[in-house]
Order: sequence, then C-alpha cells, then structure tokens
Amino acid sequence: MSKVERLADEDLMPLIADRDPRAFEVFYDRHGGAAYSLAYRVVGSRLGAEDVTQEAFLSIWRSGARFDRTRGSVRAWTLGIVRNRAIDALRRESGKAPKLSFDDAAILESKPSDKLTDDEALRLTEAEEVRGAMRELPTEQSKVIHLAFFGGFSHSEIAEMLSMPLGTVKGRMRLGLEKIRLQLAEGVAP
Amino acid sequence: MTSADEHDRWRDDLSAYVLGALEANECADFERHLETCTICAEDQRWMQPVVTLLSESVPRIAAPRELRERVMGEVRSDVENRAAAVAGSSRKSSGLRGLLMRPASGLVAVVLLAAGIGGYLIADGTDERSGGSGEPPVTISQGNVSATLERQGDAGTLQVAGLSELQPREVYQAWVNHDGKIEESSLFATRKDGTATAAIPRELNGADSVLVTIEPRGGSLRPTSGALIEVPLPD
Repeated sequence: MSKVERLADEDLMPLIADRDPRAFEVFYDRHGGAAYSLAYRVVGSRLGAEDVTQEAFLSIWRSGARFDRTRGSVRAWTLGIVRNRAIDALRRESGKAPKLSFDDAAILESKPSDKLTDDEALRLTEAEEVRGAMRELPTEQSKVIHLAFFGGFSHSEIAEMLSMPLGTVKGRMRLGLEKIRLQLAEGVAP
Repeated sequence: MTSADEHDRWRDDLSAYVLGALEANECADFERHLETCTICAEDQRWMQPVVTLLSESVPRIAAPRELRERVMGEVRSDVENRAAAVAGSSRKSSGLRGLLMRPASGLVAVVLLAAGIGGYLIADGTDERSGGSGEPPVTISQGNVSATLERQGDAGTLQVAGLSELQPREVYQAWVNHDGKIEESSLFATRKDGTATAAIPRELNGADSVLVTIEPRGGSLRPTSGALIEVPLPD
C-alpha cells in the first residue's frame, strides 16, 4: 500500500485540491462504487448512473475539492453531491416519473472478501442495517421518505401525488426517520 | 432562540429539509429559523446522520471499469493541459529554461540539460564527464537509497542508486528545497540496476537540499509523497 493510499479521506482532500491525480485515484477507488450504486438507485439505468457518477467526480476534481471538514465526512459530502446530480438528471428528463422499483437482477451485491477494507466492510454492514430498518417501516412512512430522498420530489409534490395534506407528508417523514434512528440504536445496543 | 410555539410551526419542516424536500424559498425560510432554534438544531444533529445513512443503504452494484478509466483519463488530461499551460507561460518568460521544464518532456529535458548545460552525456547508464565547477560532490545514504549531487555552477547532476522499480503510472521526480519552498525539477526513470541520473536545472545557488520523490506519471507541481532521499547542500 502506497503512502497516499494510507491517508485518511480528510487528508486526501488537500492533495486533490492541489490537483494530485494519484490522490484523486485513491479517492475514486474508495467512493466510486458507493457513488455509482447511489446514482443507479436514483436514475434507474446503468448509462445514466455512469454519467451522473462521472459528472459528480469531475466536478469535485475541477472545483478543487471544496470540502469543509467541519460539516461532516468526506463520504457523506461526496454522496450528497452524487445524489444532487442524480436528482438533477432525473428532473432534466421532464415528465418521467422516478423509478421506485429497480431491476434487481442487474444488481451484483458486494460480497465481503479479503479485499474489503475494514471501513468498507463496516459500511456494508451499516447499509444492511439501514435497509433492514427501512423494511420495518410502515409503508406510508417509507414511501414518503423514498419519494423525497431517492425520487427528488418536494413535499408538496408528494402530497399531490399521494392525495394527502402537506402536514401529513411531513409528519410521516419525521416519524419514519425517528423509527429508523430507533431501529439502528437498538441494533447496536448490547 | 425561538419560543416553543414558534418552533411548533416549523417542527415537521425539519424532516423535509434534511431529506431535501423543501422548495427553494421554503428552504431559505427554514434555514433562517434553524439559525435561532436550538430545538431544531438539536433534532438536526440526529436526523442528518440518519438521512446520510440512506445514501449508504442502497444495494451495491459494481461500477464498470471503463467508468474509472474515463474519469481518470479526464483527470490526467486536465493535469497535462494545466502543466502545458504553466510551461507555456514559463517559456514565454524564460525561453529555453521554460521549454526544458515542461513536464510532458521531462525525460527529454533531463538528457538535454545533462548534455548541454551540465556537461554530461547520459546514455545507457554511461556518464562521461566533460566539465564541472570543481565543487566537491555531496554523497548521502538513506536506507537503501544513496545519492550523489555534483554541482556545475548553478545547476547540478544527481546520481541515485538503490531505487525500486516503479509502477507503470509512476515516475521519480527531483525537487529543490529553498528554505522550505519546494520547487519542481526533473522527472527521471531508473536503469535496470536501480541507478539513475537526473539533471537539476534549477538554481542550486542558495538552495538547502535536493529531494527525490515518487510522483504520478507526468510529474507533480508539489511533492505528493515523502522524500526517498534528501541531499543537503553546503552553504
């Protein structure tokens, strides 16, 4: 493992800001898979996910990786950029409803292997826990969260789609997030 | 701080806010409230990480290898264009020196400088001395790597031994340290026996040391890895 590969994400970012391609390569290798998976989840096509991922990573590279470590982790920041790009891509396709069920046959779930870093293995475990928590939610709560987060719909659009008052949509979002939090907290309790 | 009544009016907007589901104007209004509401700020501290985890919750699919190649191809192209632009402006101001320092022609520069400026002919590992400044060479060893710097006035020639074979996308790069300010110098490759010769065309007068690092192919504007060896220069 090279010295750059041993650096923490937060220490890679200044190198990327200085246009170090090796640091960027390490950054891509760490987060490219999660970014592509998220993009695919939102736009629902491999080609679209490739475009979104490429746009997002090149925007990070060309903007000099303006990461602010006081506002969270590099991972969360990166995936936030990817999600925003993916939602933008969805919205550009006017009139096309976001796809909420996906072609699971095309999905190659990552299997833990010796090649996974500890961080990546932990993330996969967390991801499974969050999916489990989402599955436990009442449908009406998981639906509004999915429509907002993965579909890019505003709360008023969701209210109109589901023919329910705005306050109900927001209330269900809150209840759903609270339940996910509790599920996760129980999951890690001794 | 806002009152509890005031907070109640905004309470459920927080979930829509962290999920990115507020309209732009609503978002601005809510952020103004958030600045003064300690209850919402407290709730945001647990709610935001939950939303962040949603990004991680999607089933993982393998990204195509071509995507990585496309992204990195663009990145390398940016680096080369930027280096060419820097070299172009340097060439306008400093003529031959600017031309020789173009990273894209770094290896050519090493040969030209060694043959033309430094007075050395570097070919197939054979160095024939044809001149020098008379200053004693400085030799130093660090780990398995050893280096000798011979000065020719303001320039110099660095002979290095004990270098490892590099990955295809890597190159060795020499740097000159002026009181902590590290300036880029030559790119060079090793011979099969782990030795290498690099011309140092930068102003060595007043420099503190010459360093060698491993850099991505094309070189870097600043060191991106630790120095393999640092040759101090006498005052």
